[in-house]
Amino acid sequence: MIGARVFGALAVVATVAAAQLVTARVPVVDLGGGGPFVRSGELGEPVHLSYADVEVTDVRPAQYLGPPDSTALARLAGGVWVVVSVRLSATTKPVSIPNAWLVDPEGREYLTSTRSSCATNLRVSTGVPTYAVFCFDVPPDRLEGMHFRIARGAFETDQTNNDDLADVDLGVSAKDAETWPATTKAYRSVDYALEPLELTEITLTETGS
Amino acid sequence: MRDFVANRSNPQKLGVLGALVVLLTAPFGGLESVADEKTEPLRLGQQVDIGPFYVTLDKVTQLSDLEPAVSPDVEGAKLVVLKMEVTNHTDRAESSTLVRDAVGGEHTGFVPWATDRGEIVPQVFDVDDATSFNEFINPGQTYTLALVLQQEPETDLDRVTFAIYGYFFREIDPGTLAPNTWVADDPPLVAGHVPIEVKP
Repeated sequence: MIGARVFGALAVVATVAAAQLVTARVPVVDLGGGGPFVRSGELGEPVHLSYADVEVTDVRPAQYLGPPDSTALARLAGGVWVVVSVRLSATTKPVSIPNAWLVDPEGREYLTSTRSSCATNLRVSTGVPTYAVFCFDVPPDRLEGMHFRIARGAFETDQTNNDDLADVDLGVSAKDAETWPATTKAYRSVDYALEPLELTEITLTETGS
Repeated sequence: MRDFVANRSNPQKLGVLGALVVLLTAPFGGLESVADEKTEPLRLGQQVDIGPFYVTLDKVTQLSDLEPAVSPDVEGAKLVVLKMEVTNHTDRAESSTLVRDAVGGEHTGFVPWATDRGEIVPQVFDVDDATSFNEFINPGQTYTLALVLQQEPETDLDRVTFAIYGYFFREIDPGTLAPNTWVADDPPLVAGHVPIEVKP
């Protein structure tokens, strides 16, 4: 009688333990399944996505970015400002682009800067090109081989899965990675427009301390 | 077997029962080590790993104003500036609000900013360009930040203590399924009094 009880209790414990092992080791919650469909390209070359065409038209470093309000204080990069100019147009219907980001060769992801006053999220119209400038504050030792990425899903929450994503090699060479951290260039920040954007170099003046 | 058990003393029986309970909880983490929850003394210049960031408190200063970046918005209040170096040591961008919210203290005499509706929240500035800083900090990036608070002018600075809290990483929130979040941990990683430099 006691043996049967002990056996029953052990059987319950064993079953619960086995269930715990299964739930701990098997991914029960699937947040999206397959990864994004990566469409690769290079600087100056259009990338065709199912919902938009994307072309990185320019990339350059800066030390400072001046806000649109010329009396406001300029933003000094913690590392190097990587300023990426992009031309986008929606293919079949207007599309929201919540973010763009950079990826280094080790897969680390770098977000756009909100304090830069550059573009963060966009509404892109069909057939009417939108010109945007995205600004990233990147550590000086992480510049080489950087890729620009953009998609219509928020990548922080894995919403880029099972959808097209543009991946553009910015062509940042080893030599660029050596020289860019020494830049002293300062540009007026811009976010986006329906006409091609020209980055304007600015001269900074000192304010009182 | 029954006789063997019957001949054991009560403390022995309780000990075996306790060991059995621990063994039965093993599949659910009963044998895992308990996290070390000891709070270390806070020192200036000491690097603290709060989870997403390395944080080093360099200096604490009390002063009357910090123009052009920020001035007190409560009459007569002083400003207290915690200057700290912050480095994101993870492989993804993390919000600077995690640094802002990691700092606490006791006997601080802090008063809220007029815009903060009674809550004590530091304003954060980039020391190198004196601009407001509320930003995702990219991997490997280091900034020198100033956490600025308002303080009652008659606060006894020798009694003020600061604390820096850490975070643990949660891959998926079981309640909301929100992925990849940092959750505040308790008790603080470091706490204690540090010298406060007073400037006019």
